Amino acid sequence: MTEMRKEWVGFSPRRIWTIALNTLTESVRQKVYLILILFALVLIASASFFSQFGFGETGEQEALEQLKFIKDFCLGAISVFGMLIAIVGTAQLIPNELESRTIYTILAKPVRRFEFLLGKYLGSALLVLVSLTMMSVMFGAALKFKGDNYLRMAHESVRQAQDAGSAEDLVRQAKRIHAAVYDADLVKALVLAYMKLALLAAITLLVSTFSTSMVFNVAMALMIFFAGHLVGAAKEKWAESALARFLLALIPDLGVFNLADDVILGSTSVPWAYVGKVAAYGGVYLIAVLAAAHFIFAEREM
Amino acid sequence: MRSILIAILLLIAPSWGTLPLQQRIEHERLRLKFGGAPVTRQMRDVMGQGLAIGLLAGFRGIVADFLWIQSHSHWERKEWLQQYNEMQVVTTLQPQSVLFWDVGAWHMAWNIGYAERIDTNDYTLAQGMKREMVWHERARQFLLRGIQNLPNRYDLYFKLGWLYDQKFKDPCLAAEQYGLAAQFADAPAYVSRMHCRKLAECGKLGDAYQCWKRIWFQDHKTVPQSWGIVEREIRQIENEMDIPDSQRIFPRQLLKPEPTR
Amino acid sequence: MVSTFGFEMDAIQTENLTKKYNLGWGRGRLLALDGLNLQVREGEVYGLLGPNGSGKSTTLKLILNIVWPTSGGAWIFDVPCDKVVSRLHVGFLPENPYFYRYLTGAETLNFYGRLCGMSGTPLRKRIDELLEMVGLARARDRRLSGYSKGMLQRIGLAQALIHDPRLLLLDEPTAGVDPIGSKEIRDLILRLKAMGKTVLLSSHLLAQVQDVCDRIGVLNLGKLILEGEVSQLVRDQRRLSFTVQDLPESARAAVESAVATAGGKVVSVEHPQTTLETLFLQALRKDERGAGDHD
Repeated sequence: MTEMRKEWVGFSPRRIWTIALNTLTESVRQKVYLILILFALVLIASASFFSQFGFGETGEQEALEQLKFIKDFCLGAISVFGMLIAIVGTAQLIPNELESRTIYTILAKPVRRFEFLLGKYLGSALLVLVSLTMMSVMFGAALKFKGDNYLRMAHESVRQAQDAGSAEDLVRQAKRIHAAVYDADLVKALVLAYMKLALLAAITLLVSTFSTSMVFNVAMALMIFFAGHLVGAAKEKWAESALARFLLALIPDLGVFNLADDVILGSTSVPWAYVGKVAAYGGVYLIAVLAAAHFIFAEREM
Repeated sequence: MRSILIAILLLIAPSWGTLPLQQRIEHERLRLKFGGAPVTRQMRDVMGQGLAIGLLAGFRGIVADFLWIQSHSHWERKEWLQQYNEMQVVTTLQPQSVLFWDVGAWHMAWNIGYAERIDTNDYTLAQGMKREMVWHERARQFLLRGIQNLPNRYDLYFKLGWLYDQKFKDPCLAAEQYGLAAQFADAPAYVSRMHCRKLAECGKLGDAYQCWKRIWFQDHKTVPQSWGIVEREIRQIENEMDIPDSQRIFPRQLLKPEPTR
Repeated sequence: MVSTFGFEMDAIQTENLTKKYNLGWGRGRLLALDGLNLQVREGEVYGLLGPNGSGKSTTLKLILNIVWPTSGGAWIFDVPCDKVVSRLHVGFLPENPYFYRYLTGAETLNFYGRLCGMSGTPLRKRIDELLEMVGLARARDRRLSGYSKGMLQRIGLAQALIHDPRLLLLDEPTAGVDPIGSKEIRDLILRLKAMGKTVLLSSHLLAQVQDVCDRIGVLNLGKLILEGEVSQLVRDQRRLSFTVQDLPESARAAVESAVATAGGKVVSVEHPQTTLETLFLQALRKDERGAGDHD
């Protein structure tokens, strides 16, 4: 047994994965999480029961309006709950490990501190991914349910059209509704939403490496979240205030990850190149934040 | 201590290191018209605290939707000005939404305008009509701003043409707008027909004739069922312009009754 | 295991191990451990005793590289403690552990096993083996949130043993555990010793330590003030204790005078006492209904 184990003392991705899976399991089995995700799913599902009729001038406008409401609402809910899960879920990781003293049992094995930190982060990222996937599937179902309703109504009115001209127009309207429902760009919005949440989780982890108070961790992460949305405006005021310069230097521009609103408006199609650029930006920040967390955590005595 | 300094350096590095990437993203966002117009203090007052925070968290769409729905409750309570203000805010938040401009203009010129006209509680009918015209103008300005933001969609040009036609009673301006709208690939077939019709109403028979001929020979969007309409229009114009038979597309047939305009 | 020179290896060796904690600005430093020279030989059970705050936990943390020494060094089987390799042969049971509340017993052991690089059938067999050994086989699929204190200590011991380490570090292994559980843990430690393992445990429950440890060291305010073999330390060389049975009262005076004549001094004559613990355990064993989750 000794011979087999010696080779596992090196840097081991398998160990990181073990810790990640363990973190995920522990988080998913918590009652708070189950209640939260259930609530989120019910809320998103309830969007398909929004009122059938809107305020538009024509049936098509009403349909498009309602679909916009549903999409904005659901993606907003996914954002909010995703954020809660990312921040609160990550903020408690290291404090919990310290409190239950499990961290000592892990570090007493031949586990490097970096493997532990990365494993914890990965577990959190997986938790967010799983949650986001569930919510997205529910969103897709709600959208399809409502959308198909509208499409059925649209096709019905095509069938009942008085003449060729209006029939042609109604067909065109039905196509528009279809495009609003089966919009592939929504996936891109979700991808960037996940990227933002992954970054937020990393930032929360960084904060938790030097503070063990859950409340502080969550508050700090929320502050950084709001600050991240101000970075866009700060770029314009960069010459004017020292605060703007400070924000710009430290905090990532989280506004670029918000693709949902623009995708829902549907005026232009979003190129994958844009998604790639933003993902790269997020990736660079992610690596930097995790590296910073590593440096602080590696020097931390417990 | 040392580790904290390294950590801070690591956090500053990405914003400096990705400057070219950030610039390219910024450029893309401007090109794709992402985000929205900057929000002023007055607009935030219209929104209220709660929505302003939602805006700060990046939920532009939801804030806009909420205000939009709220503007309708103002509509029901006949609070036109509040409705108008909120619609302005909504279109500032999401200037890329065709729906907000389109339906907003419809509310202003058709619904509010009409309501102002028939509201004879405090005003005479003449005063009411004057107030209605104010709303027509507001709708016009509104649509013009909308077109500035969305110059590549047919919908708002069409709506403006419809506005000129129905409310300003100006077929020439209407024709111009319908012409602009008809250029877009996703414009419905009837738009070009309306363009031709309004040209004729405007008095530009020659242009109208060219317009109809263009449709007859080059338009691939018109369904077979509508060809009859095009044929009828061409016949009428050819009659009105007294074009000699040799140059007509549809030579005169004495036996065919001619519908009067 | 014997080193190349034929000497027995030291499981743990510390040399002038010192730890000063910074108390923050202007409040100076706390001397938690002051120049500790410790040698734990392979195969022995060493008890580190001392009042709270004497440096026992600090010593264990320094050996495990959870905190770093201000000066001095520590070695495990001649490997310096700041190397990750040194922890290959160590199992650690921290004080008052809670572990992962939502994992079952078997899942917990599976997790720790995988951390050590084990997997598949060998890991599964090892888990079954350990659960049997610590007496938790029946609770293997229960979540740890439903474990009693004693059960947590036992699963803790199991995770420390998952990779079959040569050295065990136990921080207060019987603190907060009821007498039966405490006895079971002590029996386990003796079994481990019989398997050739080295155990370093820290405790302030002196009576329990006495039965298990070969050697003890007493720490106070960071310094080792007493060290030696338990049997020798505890024995009072000057006194001799006879336990006599069925001696009639009348003969007592004759025995006392015989002692006095020989030059000794009778210090005390009384009925010997059993310990409360023995009484307690005997009573429970006699109770037909069993003893709760210790069955």
